[in-house]
Amino acid sequence: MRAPTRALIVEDVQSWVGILSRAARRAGVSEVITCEDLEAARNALRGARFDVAILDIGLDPADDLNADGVKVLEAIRKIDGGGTRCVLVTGWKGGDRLALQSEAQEKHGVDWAFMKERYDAHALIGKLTELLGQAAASRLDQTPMENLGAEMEPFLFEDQLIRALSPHGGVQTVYTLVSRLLGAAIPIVAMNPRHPMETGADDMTVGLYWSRALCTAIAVGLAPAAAWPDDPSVVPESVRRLMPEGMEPELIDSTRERNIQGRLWELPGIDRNEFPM
Amino acid sequence: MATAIGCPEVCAVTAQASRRFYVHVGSLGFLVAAQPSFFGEVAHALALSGASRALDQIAQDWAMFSSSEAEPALRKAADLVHDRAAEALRDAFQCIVQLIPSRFGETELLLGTTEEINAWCYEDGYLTYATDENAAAIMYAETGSLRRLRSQIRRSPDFDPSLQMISGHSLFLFDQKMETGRETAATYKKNSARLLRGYRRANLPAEPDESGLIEAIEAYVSTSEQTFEGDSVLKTCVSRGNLMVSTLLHSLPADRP
Repeated sequence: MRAPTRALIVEDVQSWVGILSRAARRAGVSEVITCEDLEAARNALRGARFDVAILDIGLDPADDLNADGVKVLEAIRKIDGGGTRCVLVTGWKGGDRLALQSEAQEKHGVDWAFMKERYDAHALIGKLTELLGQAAASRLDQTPMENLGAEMEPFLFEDQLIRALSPHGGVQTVYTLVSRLLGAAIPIVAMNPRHPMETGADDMTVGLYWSRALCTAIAVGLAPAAAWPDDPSVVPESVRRLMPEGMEPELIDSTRERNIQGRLWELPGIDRNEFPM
Repeated sequence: MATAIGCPEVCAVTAQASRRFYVHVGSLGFLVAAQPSFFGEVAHALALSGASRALDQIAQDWAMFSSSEAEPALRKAADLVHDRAAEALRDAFQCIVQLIPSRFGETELLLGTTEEINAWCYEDGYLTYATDENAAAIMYAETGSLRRLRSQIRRSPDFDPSLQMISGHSLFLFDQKMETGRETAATYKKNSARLLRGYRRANLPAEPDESGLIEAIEAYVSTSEQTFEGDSVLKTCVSRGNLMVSTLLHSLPADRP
């Protein structure tokens, strides 16, 4: 399982939206999401993780400081740390904007910036291609295990899993399994951050999450290998209980590490708004 | 529409230096339905290619039936619009990945990074493309039904190794992380299926927006220019371009109930 390569373009001038989207696609971005303002960009960030963001620094003409683009940059860094590569786009409207740009570069780690008046398609496509390569290699601030544990204290979450799964090789086995199972799905947002996973009578430890990398709701199931039904198309009762009635989950990954097996289902039809912020 | 869509199929897949590939318009419909932000680029390329065909015919008519002084200028304009259309098609198609069902699980670029589009037509639901003059000569010389040709290729994949016929849900936007090749098809299909779940017909235009096309053609053809029959050249070109975009719009999948 691999997550798609995604770009966020925050730009309010329609002709530039077209130019920047085209450059992103030529660089190998398979999903381009465009937003006209700060609010729309924040909403997009809730649902998806982006490999690269192209931000117009002057989104709001009424904003003298032209700072909305910088606010999007702040939001990206707050939510995703340094994982998203950011390109700042400016117009030549005087020193205030340039000062803002250099401040943003210093504070939030802008990866590249260019002025619309000096736009060069080849240069932008080349730079985006390079940044996408870096984004793929960059690591997120949190591990898959931390993501899975949501707001639970790490030691409590690990203890819960050790008790439920009795893994050979201890917590290391669980870490390896979770990393392999969730590597492409993180960052994830737990439906119940304080109790992200629970163990049912069938020995399945299951949790419902929103994957910002895959842009879909997922169910994660961990259990001793012997507890799983032989037929991988059979969805265990503990997983079914998490979902709305009538929903057909789709198995997207299955990984085994020593005596523990994990499975991941995609749950089409559950909206991002059903998960906490 | 002559060909059933929905069932991915690519026939005779060996990539050749000189080749033709015929894309069912429904396949492009699936692509832009999954990726609405790509619609504008595909629509612009199709519109330009349609307008270019119309302008080429007009220039040929003048050359054949009249010794008018308008002919050399129109010929030059037709060549320039052809080049722009070829460029727009190349830029769009080099971003597209196609499934290769006969090499299970494999994908490749619809148009290779060193390939060009030399000629194109539209017939029986298929947008047909040739990558060089030899392939174009074969494409223009073809007679008979494309459906019959497709079933011939299906029965005998070696029937014509320089021809690919693409239909169904088998085109996706290229992804730098996944690239193309073995074992990439499932991920492309899965990502596209997820995007299609969010598809709403209302997110795409109801009809062609001809402003970009008019601007592009006006750069080469004056508004007073006339066809041999006395119609406006500009209007004729724009009308043919619109027809191509309308065909794409009509091929879009319906909303899910």
